[in-house]
Amino acid sequence: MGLTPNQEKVVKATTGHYVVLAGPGCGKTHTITEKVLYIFEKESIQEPHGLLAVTFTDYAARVMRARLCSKGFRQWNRIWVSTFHSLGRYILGCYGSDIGIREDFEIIESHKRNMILRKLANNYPIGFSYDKLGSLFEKLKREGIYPGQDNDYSLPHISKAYEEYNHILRERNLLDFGDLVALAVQLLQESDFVNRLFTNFFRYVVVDEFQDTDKQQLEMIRIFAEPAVGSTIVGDDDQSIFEWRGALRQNVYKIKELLGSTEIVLGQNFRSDKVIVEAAAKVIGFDPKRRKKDMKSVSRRKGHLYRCGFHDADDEAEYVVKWIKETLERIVHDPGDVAVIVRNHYRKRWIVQEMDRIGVSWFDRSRLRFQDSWETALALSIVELAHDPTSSLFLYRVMASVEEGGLAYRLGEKDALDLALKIRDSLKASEDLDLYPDNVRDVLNAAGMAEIIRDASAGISDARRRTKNLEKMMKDIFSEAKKHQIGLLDVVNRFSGHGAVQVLSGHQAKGGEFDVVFFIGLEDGVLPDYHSHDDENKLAEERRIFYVGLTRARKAAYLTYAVNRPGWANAKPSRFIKTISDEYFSEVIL
Amino acid sequence: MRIRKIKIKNYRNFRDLELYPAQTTILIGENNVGKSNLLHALRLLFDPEARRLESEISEDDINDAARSEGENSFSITVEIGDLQEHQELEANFMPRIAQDSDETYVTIEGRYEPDEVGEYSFKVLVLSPEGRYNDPIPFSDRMRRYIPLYYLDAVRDARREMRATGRGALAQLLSDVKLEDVEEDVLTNIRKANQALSQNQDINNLAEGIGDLLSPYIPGGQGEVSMTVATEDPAQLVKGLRLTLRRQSDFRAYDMYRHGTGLQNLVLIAMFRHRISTAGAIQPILAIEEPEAHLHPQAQRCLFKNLEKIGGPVLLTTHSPTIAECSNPLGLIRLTFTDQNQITAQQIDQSKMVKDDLKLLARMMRSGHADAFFARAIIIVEGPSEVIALPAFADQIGHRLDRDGISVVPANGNAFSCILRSCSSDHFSIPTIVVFDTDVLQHSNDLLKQAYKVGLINKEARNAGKNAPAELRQRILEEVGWIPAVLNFEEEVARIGYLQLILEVIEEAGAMLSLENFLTENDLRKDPHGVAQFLNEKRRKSLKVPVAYAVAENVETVGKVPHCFERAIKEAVKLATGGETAIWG
Repeated sequence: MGLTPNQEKVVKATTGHYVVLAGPGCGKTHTITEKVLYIFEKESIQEPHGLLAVTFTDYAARVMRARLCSKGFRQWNRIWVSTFHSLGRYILGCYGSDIGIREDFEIIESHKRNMILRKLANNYPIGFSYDKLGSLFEKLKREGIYPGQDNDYSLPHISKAYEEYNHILRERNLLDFGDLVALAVQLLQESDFVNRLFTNFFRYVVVDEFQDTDKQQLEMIRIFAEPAVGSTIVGDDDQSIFEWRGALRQNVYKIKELLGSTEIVLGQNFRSDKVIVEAAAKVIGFDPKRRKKDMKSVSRRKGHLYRCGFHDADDEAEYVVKWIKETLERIVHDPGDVAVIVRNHYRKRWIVQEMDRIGVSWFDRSRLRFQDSWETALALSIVELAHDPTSSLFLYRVMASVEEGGLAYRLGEKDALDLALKIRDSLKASEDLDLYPDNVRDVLNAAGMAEIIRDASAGISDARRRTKNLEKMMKDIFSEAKKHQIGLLDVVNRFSGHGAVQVLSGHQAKGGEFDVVFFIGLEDGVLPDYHSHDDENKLAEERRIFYVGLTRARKAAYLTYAVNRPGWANAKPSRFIKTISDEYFSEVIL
Repeated sequence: MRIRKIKIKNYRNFRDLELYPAQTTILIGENNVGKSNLLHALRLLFDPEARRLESEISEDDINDAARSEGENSFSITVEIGDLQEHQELEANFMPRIAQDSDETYVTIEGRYEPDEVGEYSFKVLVLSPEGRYNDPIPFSDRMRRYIPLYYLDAVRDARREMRATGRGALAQLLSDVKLEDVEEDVLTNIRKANQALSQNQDINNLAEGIGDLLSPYIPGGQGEVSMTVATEDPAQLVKGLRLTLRRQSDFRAYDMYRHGTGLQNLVLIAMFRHRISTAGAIQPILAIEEPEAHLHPQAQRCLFKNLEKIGGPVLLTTHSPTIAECSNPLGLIRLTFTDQNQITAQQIDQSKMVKDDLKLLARMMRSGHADAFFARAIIIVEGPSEVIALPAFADQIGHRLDRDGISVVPANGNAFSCILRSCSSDHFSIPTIVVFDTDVLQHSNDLLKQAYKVGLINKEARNAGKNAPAELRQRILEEVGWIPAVLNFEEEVARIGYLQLILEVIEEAGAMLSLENFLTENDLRKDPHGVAQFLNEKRRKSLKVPVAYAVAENVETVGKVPHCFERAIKEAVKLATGGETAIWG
């Protein structure tokens, strides 16, 4: 795959600071990968210095590693592809003592955290629930505020509770997720030694999804990028939909100002057909405060956009599922290429019931309790391989998940293939493995998963967390299999996004792409959420959710709503649909 | 970059060894004490070929004493410091760097031990800095690449190393050489030279003669035998290269192996250093065994100074006092056997030395007495006269000082304390015997001060000696084991039968008249005391050395050895060979 002139500009800018505004489907990951490869090929950072690539999710980090791997990249000890939290954990795990954090800290598990919060909510007259208290604490940490520092917005009782909360955590040598970033920033700010070591190592900084960063994350990147030879900060303020959890959409422009970066816009959409790109541009262009960016579709196909209102949610479900069935018969091969997107989880119910009734297999990731992480990805590929240890495809997948997880390096520079072969041989050697959904543990034990986790984790607490995550995954496998009456291999297939229609929320949909998208429940009051109607900023974020949902589609998007939406008579269609003029819509045949 | 510390536990003949190298470290010690094992231990961590060396490790490398006490592992721990001077090194070790005020360092440890199922393996780790609560991380090949150790063996065959073929040093250097740009030109000239050669009738006859006899055996009978100056095969061009040297005095360039072995050794070290400088390592560590091989002292000194300039850590093993004498006293490390037949490393502990002592020590070493630190016992004497005469005295009473590893070192008045201190158990742990002149006691408290400085006597004793009669001072010194000579060397020897000999020396020097005058002026007689007084006059110092030589040369004839020296020699021999504990205990 070649590069557009602007993509090439991004790739070849190996020194100096750049902010890349990347619209949906613009080949962002491809461009970043090429750029990293180019930097190493041109040796713009010298051995043994390295490059820092920060992503927002573990999944995104693995995708990036996989891409680099497939391009033959091998210098894994000079590149850090990680999330903000794992970077923070790494820094604190190396030198936390300098700000009073023992390097062998553990991360508090959520049920333990809830217990502490509950106790605090009872002991202090704060007048609201423990989970609200928890999110308040999260917010304080996002701002980098710790007890003993002046701040206006906490009442005396709350600040006492906050103090006690942090005290309990420290006493038990625990950190919460907010600490990982906030304390790492504090460490980098307060210790010249630590600051020198890390900024000296990372000579180039790449960050993706910068519109989702909060205040502390911005600071962390500033600390690394400022002394580096260059940076590429990628973001799209149009796709910022996490302001409710502290993301600051303006950070993209703020970091540009702080670093004096040059701006490059990647506005060519390689993903979606014409009509979808143009309609999406209309929707997002409606925001008067938005910085204008031109979006163009590369595809020569027109594509399809449908709009349809129904009497109620049952009707909506009936027709949508009918269309899904037709789509599956005529357009796509893998049901995983079809997505049903909803603004809120509660609007899923009708559609899911209808799919069950008609017999369309579906998959809802939000029902799973495990975190998508390297150990789960590897475990799933191992389960596949256990079904046929002679399959070179399955072996390849095991090897890929070893590489994507950066495991070969952590396990002592062994080759990924070596490890994959070792796993295969262990599986071959253990006869009589029952391949049932309730027997995943035996399969993983046979493959030596426990040892792999022990050796590749960042310490005992990390290993324990990963083991627990695997246990959650085993439960999820079991319940998914039971619910849909399917076998182990089918479950694994679904977990990796294949074999079933994907049911997603607007927020979950971000980052994904599908041939056909059914964006349902688009009533004014659902999207935009009725809470947001009077708040211009919230309304703008709702518009961006709509934009993100719509731009997931490659070939066709269906926008549907129910006039009598559940619990609400005479609902109006979403105002965002109205910003798309009629000419974009194809005729719907009911 | 520097090596802050090396600690070895249970490796080969080291039960528990700890040493603190300087920028250039000289390892001395008797044969078999483990100097090469020490370098080999470092190679297991830092040699670019460490992986290959690792595979040769076996349980036999675990110290015997340790094994008999049930320990089944060995470890080699090295602290690499002054990383703050190199950005690359700090980047290299980023996750596990320790701080010691301004200095940053890492601790690298190689451990050979069995796992849960009893299978032995050698693992090299970067340890967690002290006071931090994280785990060691593997010492990766990349990390090793930045601080490689290059090793030059003691047993070297210059001729083999200088061949362009095989695995020698020159062959390695040539392995990356590309000749494309000149190949054609060179081959044309070789062809020309070969043609010129074939014009010679003798050569022609020879080649043809062989060819005729060979042709019946060559299939088809076709083939031409010829003699050549060099091969015309381009692939063999590099292999035919040879290193030559033309010195200013030489008429033409000669093959290296036609020069002396000493020069060959220097060439070898030069090739070794060239390979290192072109390897592109940030901070190489050099380990050279016995660089002095075949070199005369000046060349040794010159080589040493060049090695010192490299900047990275250099470790040398040597048996050469000439190399040792160039060294900073702090860089001298002595490996010795302990009573329990274990090896310990002895060196100057800077924190326990006074600054002036180091200066005096360096001066003493440079003035040709560095061999003292190779010794098993040292006799410290007043000055050069004793140094000259003592070996002869020893012969007379049936001892060989060299054989027993005993050095005689002159204190030259003020160096008693610094030699004593550097030989004490905090430092080199060499047993010492002191013989002192009693005449100086009469007008100075200096010897007591020296004894006090080393901690042999306390303040009270020192003060008691102040302004006290000489006898008391002498008694205090005798109590700590120092051996008194009666007044001085000359008086001692004159008393026991060397007077006539001394008078002959004075006569020869034409100083008899001066002697007579001196005796009259000072109301002295021409007896041992009077003559000794004369020789110890400031103006007559030049006579002392000839006197000492005369004494030394005539010990056998006179057949007498002064009592104090006999005692000193016997005690030194006992300490050096008898396994008796040193007076420093």
